[in-house]
Amino acid sequence: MTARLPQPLRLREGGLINRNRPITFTFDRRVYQGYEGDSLASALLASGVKLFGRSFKYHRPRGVFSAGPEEPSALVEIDQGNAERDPNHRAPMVELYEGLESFSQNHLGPLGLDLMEANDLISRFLPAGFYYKTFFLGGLQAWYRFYEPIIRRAAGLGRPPKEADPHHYDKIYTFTDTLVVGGGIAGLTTALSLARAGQSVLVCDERDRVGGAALWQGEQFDGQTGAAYVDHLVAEIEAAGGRVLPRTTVFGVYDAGTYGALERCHDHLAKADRPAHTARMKYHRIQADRVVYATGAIERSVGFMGNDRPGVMLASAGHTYLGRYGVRVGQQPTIFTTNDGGYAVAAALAASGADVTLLDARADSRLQAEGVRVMRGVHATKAHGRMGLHRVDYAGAESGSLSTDTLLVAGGWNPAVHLTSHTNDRRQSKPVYDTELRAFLPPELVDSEAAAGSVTGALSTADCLASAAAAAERLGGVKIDEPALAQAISVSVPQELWAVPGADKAAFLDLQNDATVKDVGLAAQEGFRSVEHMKRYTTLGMATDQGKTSNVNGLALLAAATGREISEVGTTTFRPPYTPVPIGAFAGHHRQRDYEPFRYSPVYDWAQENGATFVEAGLWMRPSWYNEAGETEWLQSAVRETRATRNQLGITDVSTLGKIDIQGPDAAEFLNCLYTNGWKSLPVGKARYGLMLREDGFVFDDGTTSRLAEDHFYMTTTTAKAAAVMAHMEFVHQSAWPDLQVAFASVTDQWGGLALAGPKSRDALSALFPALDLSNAGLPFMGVIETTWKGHTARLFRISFSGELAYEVAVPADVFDAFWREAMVVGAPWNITPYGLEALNILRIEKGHVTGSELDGRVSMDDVGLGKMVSTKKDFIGKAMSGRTAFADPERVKMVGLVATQSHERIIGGGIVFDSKDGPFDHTTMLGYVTSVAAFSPLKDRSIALAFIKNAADWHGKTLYVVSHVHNRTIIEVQAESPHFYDPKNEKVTG
Amino acid sequence: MEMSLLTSPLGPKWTAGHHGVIRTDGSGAGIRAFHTTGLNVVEIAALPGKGTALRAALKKALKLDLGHGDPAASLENAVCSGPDRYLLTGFDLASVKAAVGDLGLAADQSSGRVRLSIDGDGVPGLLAKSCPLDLSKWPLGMSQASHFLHIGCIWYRRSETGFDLYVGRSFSRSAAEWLLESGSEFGVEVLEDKG
Repeated sequence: MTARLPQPLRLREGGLINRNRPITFTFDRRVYQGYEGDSLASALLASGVKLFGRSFKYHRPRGVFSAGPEEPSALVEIDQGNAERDPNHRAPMVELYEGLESFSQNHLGPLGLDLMEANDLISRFLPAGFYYKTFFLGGLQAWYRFYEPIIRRAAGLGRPPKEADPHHYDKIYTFTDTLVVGGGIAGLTTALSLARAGQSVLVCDERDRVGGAALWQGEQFDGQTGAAYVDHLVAEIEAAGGRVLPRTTVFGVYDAGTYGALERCHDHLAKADRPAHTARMKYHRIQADRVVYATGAIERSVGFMGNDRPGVMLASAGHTYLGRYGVRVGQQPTIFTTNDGGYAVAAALAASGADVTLLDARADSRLQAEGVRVMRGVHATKAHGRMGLHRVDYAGAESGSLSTDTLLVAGGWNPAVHLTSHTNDRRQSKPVYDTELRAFLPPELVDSEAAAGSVTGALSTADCLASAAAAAERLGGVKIDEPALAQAISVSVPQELWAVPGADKAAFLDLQNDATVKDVGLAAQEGFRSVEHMKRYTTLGMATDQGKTSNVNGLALLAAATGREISEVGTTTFRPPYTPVPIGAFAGHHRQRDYEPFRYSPVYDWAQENGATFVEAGLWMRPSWYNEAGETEWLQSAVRETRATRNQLGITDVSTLGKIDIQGPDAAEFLNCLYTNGWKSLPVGKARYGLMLREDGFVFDDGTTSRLAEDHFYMTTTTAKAAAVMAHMEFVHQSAWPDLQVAFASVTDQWGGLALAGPKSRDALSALFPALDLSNAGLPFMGVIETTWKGHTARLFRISFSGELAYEVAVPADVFDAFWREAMVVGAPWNITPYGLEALNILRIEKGHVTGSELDGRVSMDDVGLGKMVSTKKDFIGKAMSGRTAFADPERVKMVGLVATQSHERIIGGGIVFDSKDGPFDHTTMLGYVTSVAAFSPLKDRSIALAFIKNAADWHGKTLYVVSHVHNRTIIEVQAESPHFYDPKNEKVTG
Repeated sequence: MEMSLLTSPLGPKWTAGHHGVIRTDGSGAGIRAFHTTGLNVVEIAALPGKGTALRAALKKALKLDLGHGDPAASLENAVCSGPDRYLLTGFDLASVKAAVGDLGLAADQSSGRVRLSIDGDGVPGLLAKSCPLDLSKWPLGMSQASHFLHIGCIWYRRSETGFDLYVGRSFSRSAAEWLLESGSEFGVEVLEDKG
């Protein structure tokens, strides 16, 4: 067992730590000990550590400033390996566990000897706005070569992990009648009242233990300690059906009763103790009918010289470390207060054996604290001690200097109003300044909202409990007995003191960003009157803490500097998240391989077994090509597959095509509404190619639709547009023609589909369906047969996308794998060859068939040579706009075929087409653009492409040039011709 | 009809047995899950204005009492998937077509829809991770189209902690894998396929 290590500032008793469970941890590789229940900050303070890190801009030495999530200074890196190196943890929020490794941040060299502290020495030359005034000197070259590299090196807080985040995160949909944000005494009391009224209640608290200040302030509730009373409340809430979630920060309020919360599940545990299969963090998307904001208040500091020195902290922090963790933050502490609250801290420290001096800024205060030396009408003016406080100067009714090792500042309280102003769905959304309380309070809340506790401006525990009762009553809670309070601490409204007289350059407001009292004055002087502008000019209130301990002081000083009331200046806009949230938590389960679901064809496994390389097409995993032995490049495979299909027999999986079953007496009429061509005359047993337009007249999608019965059609769509077409049909039916007696359903997943293509396709199909007459008469081009295969329905379509004699066969997806395998067997005599998307692309480009590359939302029917497919006898979606003048513009680009002049050159996809190779290659001379490329066409023995160019037909037979601006302006010489390279008379498909 | 030709759409990870956490208290897996193979599924949808007549026809021909079309009046073998739209299970297409007649559409979805059934005390936790609806408030017999981890699906509540999940076949492998992953925190016992 490790020997006990010294904790000189740890009290022998008191606090909520377990002294029987020592925990060993490291900070900057040095070994320390704390106890179960400690935070990293409390354990280090107990061990006598004062220096925790360096500030962002000036690299000034910094200690712990607070005891909660508002911490601006003590940011540490938690390290559990390259992937789990996690920066910017707030030391007061880091729960201690055995083996915790932590490091200080933001220094070059050792923490105590940070070379970047040179910034502090020249800080007079680096005021607010320095960046904006300096970095234009020397022009752009100076920026790129000098300023930017230096800034990049200096920028950022902490180091990012070196590897991908190995954790997993969960997103949770959480529902509750009432959400209570904050598990302090007011939140818990309100929650109990509402839970007893029958509401489902969820209490979220960001700390590891609920109870807030009641845990450590020393007050008694019904004769119990605060901690015992909190445990009692939690037990009662849970008994009434409520839930209490510690370590859960509600970080955002959104519209319609939606709240974002982050539950930290692992960070307080050593690796070995983390439950298997659980998430590091859970992002709760909470839906609540009502909300109680019991978010508490954050103590504020006062601006004076050196108020950032290690050893200067908020008075409430000193009280917390004493009461909750049994740590006396100094042997000779000084309290500087503007209100009665400082006396309770002073008395508690004195009772622990410290030599305490209290500086009360108020001359008229009459309070006393036992064992405390009190000086009235006095304020701190300067703190001394670069690495740790040793002296503080004071002035006022008397002036002087006193030795001290800790300075606790009690400047008053800022209610944590952030969440109450996240949404704009109320009449008023900005916090409201209360001149009597000298604090911003929540805006007027709507009926489903209430606030309880010190966020309402309540200062005493009694007032907090009263506000809890009021909040509960407002939201329908039952009355519960208020506890009898004893040993209540004294509180008061603070004297208005944002910065002491003479505070200037080294009087800090925002400790994280090194924004000072002087910076705010400079901003005002430069004309930045808006608090939002001041924030951006000075950086006050930015970065990880978002100015929780600095904003109000800053805007109050801006008000003074610009001669306005604080209420006129107002606050900056508070936006989610309240505290930092790892991006991984927002992603949840959906990252990397699980970013989105994949769709699998029924023959995915077969394709995998047979050498397919897959490509993600939409959500589908589709074979791109099938690699065979000896093939070293994808194009070799694709060309082999193309040649096999042209010469003998190819087979490809078309299961991904969208399929829609349409039934009803008005089914044909409905198709008339959707497609440009007519459908009523289509006989049963025949298919027809159709083109759909959008309402603006542009082509939307294409496909074939077959008539299976008088009132029954089977539509296919492109793979990419399947869902969009279905939605389009719903829209058209529900809004434009709701009375049509038709119903439809997506059957995309019901049917597996394959295409047999090539001169031997009829032979192969006959082998699969020997009983059928598949001759040209029995199944002519665009014919359809519904039959069975081994007892399962099968649909045969004589349609072709490849330009060859071809058939598509659909069978139920559950038996499609078996059907495919049988097709491979019966096709073996003709060397049946599976082909993927690459060969499919070559085949259809040779034939001049369009896909989504051509139908990209910018083309009309005429542009793709399908202008004749318009019925003039009926209305259809897009008809009115398809006749627009722009579509008849002779300069409009239309589809054309391109063939590379040189057999070894490949046309480049996305290339721009010009009629000269001499340039300029810009919009003034461009003819059009390439949409689809076959890197090699066996038909042409070279690369071919489909393109859209102006006056397309006029260029047939002429030389053009394809230029790729993203490939060093490579110029490919091409010959333009009809896009129908292969079998333009359709003799193959109809033969 | 050769049923031996059927292949499972759920992929190699969906194997009978225990997945994820093994609870030390001997209470078994938090979630029991199974897939029904060879299930006849027929999607029906009423023509405009024919919903009431369609339900009456189903009641008469197939003994399915679907009330007034409320999704909460769904049955285990007749799950409402939208207004006047249902997935019928356990009926062959011909008998459904006969029942529906000229009142609407009847389309075979036996291969198109995959039914995954889950039950157990870990199910509420799994639902919280996967579905944006508050399914805990659903009455037994309620169904609704929604999603499971962003995969479109239809939920049906069979019992206090028992739900059926209908997903499209092409999505079902992803759904099954994600069900195992998301449920691993509670322990998932995959039962042999039923059919």
